[in-house]
Amino acid sequence: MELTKVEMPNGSNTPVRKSARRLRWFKETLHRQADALHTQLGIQYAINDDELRVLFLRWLEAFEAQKPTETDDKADFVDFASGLMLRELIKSKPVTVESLPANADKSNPAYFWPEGYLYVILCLNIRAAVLAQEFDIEKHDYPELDDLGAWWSFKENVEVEDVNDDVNLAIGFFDLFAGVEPNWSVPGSFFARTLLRKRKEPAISMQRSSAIEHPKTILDPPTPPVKAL
Amino acid sequence: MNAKNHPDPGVVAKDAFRGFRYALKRGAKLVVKAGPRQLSEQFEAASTELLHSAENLAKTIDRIAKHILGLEFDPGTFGPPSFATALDAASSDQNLSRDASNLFFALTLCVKHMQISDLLVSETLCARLIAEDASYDWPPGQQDTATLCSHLYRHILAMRILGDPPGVPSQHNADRIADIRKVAFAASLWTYLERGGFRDSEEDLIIMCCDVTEQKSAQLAALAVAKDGIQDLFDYALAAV
Repeated sequence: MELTKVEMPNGSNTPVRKSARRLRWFKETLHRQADALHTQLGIQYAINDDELRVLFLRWLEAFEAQKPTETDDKADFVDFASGLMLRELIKSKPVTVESLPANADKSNPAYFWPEGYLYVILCLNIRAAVLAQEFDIEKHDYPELDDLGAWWSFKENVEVEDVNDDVNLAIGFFDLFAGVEPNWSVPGSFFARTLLRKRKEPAISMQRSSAIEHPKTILDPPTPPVKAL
Repeated sequence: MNAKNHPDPGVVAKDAFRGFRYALKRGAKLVVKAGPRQLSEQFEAASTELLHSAENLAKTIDRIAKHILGLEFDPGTFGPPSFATALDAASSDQNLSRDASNLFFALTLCVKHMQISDLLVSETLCARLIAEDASYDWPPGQQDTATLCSHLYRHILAMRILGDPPGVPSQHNADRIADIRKVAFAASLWTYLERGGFRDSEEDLIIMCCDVTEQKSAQLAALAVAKDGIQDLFDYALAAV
């Protein structure tokens, strides 16, 4: 599946990696992403800017606290930081759905969980822009985004407010959707992620392994044919 | 106009009236809440009604005077002071007055958003600060944005633009000082924030500046007014908003 693109604000030609750490830029980009999905899919979103400010600043703290100094870690940190952003979005739930099109097919991930879909697409778009600008890495296809089973598991694991649920798993699911091997054991720690990655290198380098173990087993979610967007 | 020695009488009148309004509102509120309980039962209802009428009268006078004196906040004209946006801001009477008003409302909105009670802002002192700053000779190469923010922040604190309302006992404990620093920091940040490219209103920007300031309030309290540390904090905040 290709991402629903968003035109990111770029008033002063600042690199996306820096702009993404600016509250105004993030707020504007999220609004534009919601508008783009509305145009493409007919989903009407409502955004709570108060929640947005709070979650963004929480993300920025987490970002600053775990930012690596090693050059070798920087590309992986782009993935991790994008996952952190997804975690904070899911934790704060700044977006609600006001309406779906009458013919919305719930086997389409975008209609199955419209808020989660917006969050994931936004974080993937920001990640893609940073990777393209800073590392010349271009990626246009995200096969896992079509996998309704993955979306079921994602929603079940991170959305429900249960003490046993770990919202850090959102970082693992972000990696899954991005096509990167997730770290399910300690997903919220970049240090642990780096250790794991370095232990596996060079056998696996930023590539998702074929067998990804999901953190919580979902009992045979129905897998209707996924409608292409 | 030399605002340092002869503040605009209109600005002084506004401050005086704000102090009066505060005392009137606070007094009426205290009497209405606590007063009737001191009276015997038969007078209680009548006195409550009378005091509510007095409170309503005070509000009416307040509305009229606010309109006449131009105390109302106008989002349409609110924006960063000209000294922060123009390279060569002319220090005309009109500029000084408008800048003082904008700085005053920025500080007041920060107080409001941070939900700090009993803290008044002096527009007269805002005007004096701006007049003094207009004649400040910056050493060459020291006009980066964080330095400008830091200078304004220290100046707001030094001139005691934020203070206790008249008739309210001084509360200058550690929390109070921390509150004043936060308001001064957020307003200084808003003043020099880069505009353009986004659709946020000036009030939205004030709220964002307040939130970033709250996020860094522990560091701000620890730094006091140390020059380098404050500039580093402004560097962070300018990049974050």
